[in-house]
Amino acid sequence: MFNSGKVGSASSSKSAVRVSILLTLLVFGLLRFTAIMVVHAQTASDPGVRGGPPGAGNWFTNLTPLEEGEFQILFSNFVEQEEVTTGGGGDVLRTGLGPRFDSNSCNSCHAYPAVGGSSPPQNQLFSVYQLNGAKNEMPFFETPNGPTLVARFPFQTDLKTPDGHVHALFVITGRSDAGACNIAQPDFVTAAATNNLIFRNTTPTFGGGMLEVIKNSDLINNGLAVCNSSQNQGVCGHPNLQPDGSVGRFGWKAQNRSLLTFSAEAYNVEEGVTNLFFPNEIDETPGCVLNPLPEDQINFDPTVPPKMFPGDPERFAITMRFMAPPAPGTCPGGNAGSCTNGLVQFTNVGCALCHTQSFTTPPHVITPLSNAQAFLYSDVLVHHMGPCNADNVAQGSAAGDEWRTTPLWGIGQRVFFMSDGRTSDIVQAIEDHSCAGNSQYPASEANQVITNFNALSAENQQDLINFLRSL
Amino acid sequence: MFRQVYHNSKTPRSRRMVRVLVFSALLLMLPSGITVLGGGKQPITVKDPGVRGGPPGAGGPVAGICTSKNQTGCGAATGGEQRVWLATQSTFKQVNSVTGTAPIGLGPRFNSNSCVSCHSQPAPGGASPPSNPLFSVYQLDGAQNTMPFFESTNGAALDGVFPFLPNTQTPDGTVHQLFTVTGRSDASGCSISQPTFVQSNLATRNPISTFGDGLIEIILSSDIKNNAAAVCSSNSLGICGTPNTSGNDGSVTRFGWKGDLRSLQFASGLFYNVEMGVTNEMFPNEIDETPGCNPNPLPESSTNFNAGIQDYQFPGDPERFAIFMRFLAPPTPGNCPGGNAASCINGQAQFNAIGCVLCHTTSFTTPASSTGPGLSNQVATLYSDLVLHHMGPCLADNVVAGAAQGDMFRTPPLWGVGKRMFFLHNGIETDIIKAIGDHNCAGNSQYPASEANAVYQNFKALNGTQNQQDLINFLRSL
Repeated sequence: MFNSGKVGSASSSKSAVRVSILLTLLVFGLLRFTAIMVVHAQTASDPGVRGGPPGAGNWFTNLTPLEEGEFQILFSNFVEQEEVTTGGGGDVLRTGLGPRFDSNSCNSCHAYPAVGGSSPPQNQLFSVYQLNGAKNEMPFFETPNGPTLVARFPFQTDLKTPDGHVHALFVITGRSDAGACNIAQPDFVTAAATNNLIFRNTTPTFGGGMLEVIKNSDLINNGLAVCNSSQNQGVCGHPNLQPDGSVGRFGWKAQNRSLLTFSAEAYNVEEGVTNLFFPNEIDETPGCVLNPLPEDQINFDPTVPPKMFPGDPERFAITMRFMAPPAPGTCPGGNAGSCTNGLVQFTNVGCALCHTQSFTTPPHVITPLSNAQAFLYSDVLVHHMGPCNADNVAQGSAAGDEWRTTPLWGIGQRVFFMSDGRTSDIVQAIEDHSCAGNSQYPASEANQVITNFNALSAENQQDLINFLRSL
Repeated sequence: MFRQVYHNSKTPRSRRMVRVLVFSALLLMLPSGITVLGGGKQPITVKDPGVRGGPPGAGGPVAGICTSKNQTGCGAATGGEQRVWLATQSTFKQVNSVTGTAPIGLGPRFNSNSCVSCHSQPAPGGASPPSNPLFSVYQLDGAQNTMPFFESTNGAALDGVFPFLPNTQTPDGTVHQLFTVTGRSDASGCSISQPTFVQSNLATRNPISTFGDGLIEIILSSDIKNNAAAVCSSNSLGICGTPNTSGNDGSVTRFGWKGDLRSLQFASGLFYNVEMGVTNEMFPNEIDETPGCNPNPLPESSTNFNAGIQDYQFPGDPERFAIFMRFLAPPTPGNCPGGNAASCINGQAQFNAIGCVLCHTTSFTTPASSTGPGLSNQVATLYSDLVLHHMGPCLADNVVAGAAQGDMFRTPPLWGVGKRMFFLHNGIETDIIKAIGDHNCAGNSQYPASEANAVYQNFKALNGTQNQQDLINFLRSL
């Protein structure tokens, strides 16, 4: 039996330790109970996206009045729709879309269950791709009720040299505000035919302000404790280290360090808006660099309020930093005891070896982010997930088969699972953690844990699923 | 003394005589005597005239910085540039303490306590000054640091990078800060040790001048790539550079000795934490989290939500550092050392003819900039292709950074080199002729030969000639 106390002690907070001790007691208490239960053949089913109010999208309630006042205004930046130029009569502060882009606003993809979240049930790209006369075709892998996916090519056209970059879905060609820019969308059909196309599903940003400031040493020590445990069931992750030696935290491969660097990167990569971090267009074809660079810039006008002084990425980052983590909801089925047992099973089978229950933030200048326990259910490290899940994209020290442990807070209201959004069934998503190794990549680190999950009684399995959908 | 031997005599006698006379006149102004072996076919002794005298030629803002919204090419959103730039000068010069009155956040590990400490020659924003500034920083306020062996009072202010982890095999490549706050009166309760620096696992890095960087950061990636590709396909000297690119947007990264940094904004956030230990909204955690050593809430430099502030006080310090550097004008070339402008004109011709210019590309032109006329459509005469080249095992430091292998370096821009004290990534040379010589290196089993070898042979063929002295004079005029 794996030692839940050891895993739960990742956080330096006393409360987390207390939770772990309680869990340990519960594990042993319930084990005696479950041991005498009959194992049903029927497997658990996903109750689906939890109903009720969105447990996310609100900002922290204990911001200072000044902070909260700024937030309400900054929030509008997150939902603004970018245009290419002012040629269509738009506002100069909202120009810069393209020449290549995936969408025209942050909240187009970060939408569910509230602004700042993940892919909504209806794919918003269908209302974007031909906007303002754009002549885009919808790539074959986007579906009206599927996740909003961005595409990467693991390799260059020689199929050997690593690429790994996002290849934006759409171009501005044909838009009334895009002048004579004439470029073609990437050839996704050929890329797919040569097995050189992978997808990334939108990750939610709630609680990102806590995630970005968890101590590096807490993350590293937690990971080392698991690696060094004789009961780690084959789990041993590692950090994706950044240029200053800190632990990367955001993105499917933990390639981004902070909300600010993430905002600036996505602004250019996803929307094509050049900014002070990434001041050049991704495609510099003559006729397609339509605005002075960077398109998002400091506003030196002394008559605008100070919060309008920096570029948009600072405001995006503040918005996300001030958003509270998702609040768990009621247990699906209405029986709280089911989810209580589900957490025990979750810990018991070893899910928590990677999906670390919580970390506590260090003192922070923003009160709600200071000494706060973040129940993110992630170790924020990257793990080998087997060839079935490998996308052959290396980012930093995350290899082609390695993924950041996805934080599970808010997963009760998430529609699409796994890096490529391939399933909406959380049971299937769990099963997809299991994968044998091959000559290129080792087996998934989760294999033994999934075996443990499959060995659970149907009731315990269902409780575990219910617990996840309560988050 | 760097004594050269004269080998060929293709220059017409009369021109050569004039040059020798001019050079002799120059020598009268030099502190140390050098023997010029007469006129005729006899060789001359080529010498680095040293750091150019006269005004700094750098440190001010770009000529076209907007001073009002009514200025040509400016508007409401850019009119305040000069107002803000002047304010950011003091941010670049501010000295951070560990705790107490702002600005705070120094350490727990740091290389220095202000930007200008290392970026000061010949003006704030520049490179390492003649006297190593770290000697006035390392024991400040009671700090108990010892000075690492590779720092010297009249040497460059060097960073220490460990190529490998202690197992000597796993790549490291991060900066290991020279100093700690232990012992400082504003750092009570923090007790940590300096790194143990050993020559066998050490790469040192010399501060880079930031003048003109606002132009460099917006040069089109495609212009950089096309220039490099044209050189690769057109020269027979073995020169073919590689861009270092961002793993995010694929753009050409262009700052730092290995060309691995994309923008001033990003570099400011990174180095505020790496060089000074000040956590910020890009890099919000301390590099060393030993209990007792993190006295401040994180991040130590952050958005200012207070009412009644100036607009430029809203973001954290890195935004202000970046504004300061973005609008710093490129260095202005000075008079040709010796006073004969023709020497430097010929020197540039020699620089081009022997192939220096294959990597040290004369200029790029910036695209239209949203900052207005200061950075828009400007010819940036930077003398760099901004891409990476193999420089041989002699210069290799075994540090990998993005596409830059252990033997690869970004071509350092040469604008302002006339006023520079220390050359090469490790600041090991103060004589520009020796720095040129260091470009020459045979390959070994680990790394290929330097791409500059054939060009160096061309340079060597000019030994003892006025053409070589002219080339050196040209460089020192920049």
